[in-house]
Amino acid sequence: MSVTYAAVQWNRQKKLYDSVIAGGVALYLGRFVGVGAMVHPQATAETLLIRGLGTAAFLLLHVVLSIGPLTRLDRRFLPLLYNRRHLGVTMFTLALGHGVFSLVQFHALGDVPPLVSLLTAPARFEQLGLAALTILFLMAATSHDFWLKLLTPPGWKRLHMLVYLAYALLVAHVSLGALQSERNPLFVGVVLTGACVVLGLHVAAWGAGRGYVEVCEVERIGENRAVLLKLGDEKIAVFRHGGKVSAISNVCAHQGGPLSEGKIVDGCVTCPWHGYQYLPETGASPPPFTEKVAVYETKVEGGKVLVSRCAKTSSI
Amino acid sequence: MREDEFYIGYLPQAPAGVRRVVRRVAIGLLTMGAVLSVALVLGQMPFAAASFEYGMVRGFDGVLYERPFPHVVMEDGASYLLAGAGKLGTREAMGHDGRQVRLRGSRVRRAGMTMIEVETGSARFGSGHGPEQVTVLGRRRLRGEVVDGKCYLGVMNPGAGQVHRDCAVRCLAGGLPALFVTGGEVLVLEGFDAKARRNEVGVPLTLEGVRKKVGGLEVLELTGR
Ligand code: HEM
Ligand code: FES
Repeated sequence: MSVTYAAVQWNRQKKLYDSVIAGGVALYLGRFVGVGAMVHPQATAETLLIRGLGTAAFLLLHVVLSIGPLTRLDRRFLPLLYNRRHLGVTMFTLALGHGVFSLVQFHALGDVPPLVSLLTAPARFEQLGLAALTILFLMAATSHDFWLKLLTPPGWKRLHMLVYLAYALLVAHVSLGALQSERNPLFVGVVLTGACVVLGLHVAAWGAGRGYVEVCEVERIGENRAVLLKLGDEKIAVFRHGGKVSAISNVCAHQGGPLSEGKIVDGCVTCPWHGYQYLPETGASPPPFTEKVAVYETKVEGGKVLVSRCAKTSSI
Repeated sequence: MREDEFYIGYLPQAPAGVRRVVRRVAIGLLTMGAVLSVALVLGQMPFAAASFEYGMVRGFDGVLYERPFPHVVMEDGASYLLAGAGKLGTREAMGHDGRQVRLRGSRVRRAGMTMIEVETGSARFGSGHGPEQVTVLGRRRLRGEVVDGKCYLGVMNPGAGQVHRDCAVRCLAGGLPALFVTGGEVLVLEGFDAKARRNEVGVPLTLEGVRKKVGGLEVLELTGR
């Protein structure tokens, strides 16, 4: 793969993804300002724009934050992750618009420069917004792969984990700001629901990621036979034999044959390709052979087979 | 998703099962956006009937007084407060207390009160008049919110409350007229040290002072705390 950095490498799915984002954002803002101007003729355009941009950015941040745990819970959501950066940058752009309009509207043309006014303002919620915007800016600015290389993946990841701090700051920004002025319970409701969704998904994904994945009902695995389980990039063969369930890597140590298509013969998993054998409990070939494949914890709960996400660390 | 479906972002087409899920998510999110945009915009607090005739410049004739804040008494007896550009008080009035004035500016209006954003350099002064009539109505202890007159009367909407608080602080520091919005009436607030008491702007507050009428202005003058 080439290591030249184009601004963005386009392909059909990215274009589709971005069109949906752009269209959705345009519709949201259009409706907010359009309907707002109709039902609140007294509201100034600046107010509607500031609020439209702020709410759009805040809502979009929930989507951005939810995609990670969603894909961990169900891999079908992966396409949402593929282009999450564009969603993030879009969210930042909206937030920047909101921040800049607010800065101009509420702090410009006074007795001190706008930023001085913002930083010394007594209501405090605006500084929280500025802090969050600064984090979002750093993330958006470093979103390209060039920075991933420069900061190294762990460094980049650490920087981008700050998004959770930004989210917390924004919940405070909204709670200490708009929620103090708005009386309609809808606003508190939206903020609370959003926080519950984001938090709930993370807790669920964390639990799922730590523990076991459900494979199928025990009966679906034939005696001495296996089913194939795909976990990320790993393939696992889950066998049933003599009232027990075992899980080992699907990849034969010989030439990568699919062990899940093999069978347990004489107590050993036997590869369908050239007949290499492995003990289902340890993944080791019976002596005198020395081949070994990875083994996974299994358990049966309520008739369902569960397999741990991580291979047992080898004791040999 | 069938077991063997596998999504690869750089391929032109996602597998059918994945496509279906993603399409559903996209439609769900777009719908949610549509509902929320309308719900949130409808759910906002109502906006006050206030207006700023931005860009519409008129001429005004009257007598100018500097206290408690610069204002012009019009021929019909109404008193119009004056504001400068942006978040600054006007400097046009300085040193011309009690003189006939002709100036240009844009009106800011809310509930019977009017303010003029004065076009800088437009004021022309004439002969002097006597001092303005002051009627003292007695001491009052009132609960309300300190706001800046320019935003509150219509340059911003909302021009009060928490979301507007930092702006009100800036406007008052810039010398714009202070108002005290009580449950009953909106009073011009005299003697409020907006810089020292910035933390008390834009929040519920109890103030005690002398209620008086200065020409057409309803005033609360803060005296020794
Ligand atoms: C320099 C940074 C920021 C400033 C000065 C700022 C200022 C403000 C102000 C003054 C309000 C109240 C506006 C009103 O109700 O009329 C507000 C509300 C709000 N802000 Fe911010 N903000 C900043 C950053 C952000 C960011 C980064 C986000 C989200 C990504 C955000 C989201 C919101 C939301 C959702 C509201 C409530 C809806 C609204 O009233 O606009 N703000 N902000
Ligand atoms: S690949 Fe399994 S025996 Fe050859």
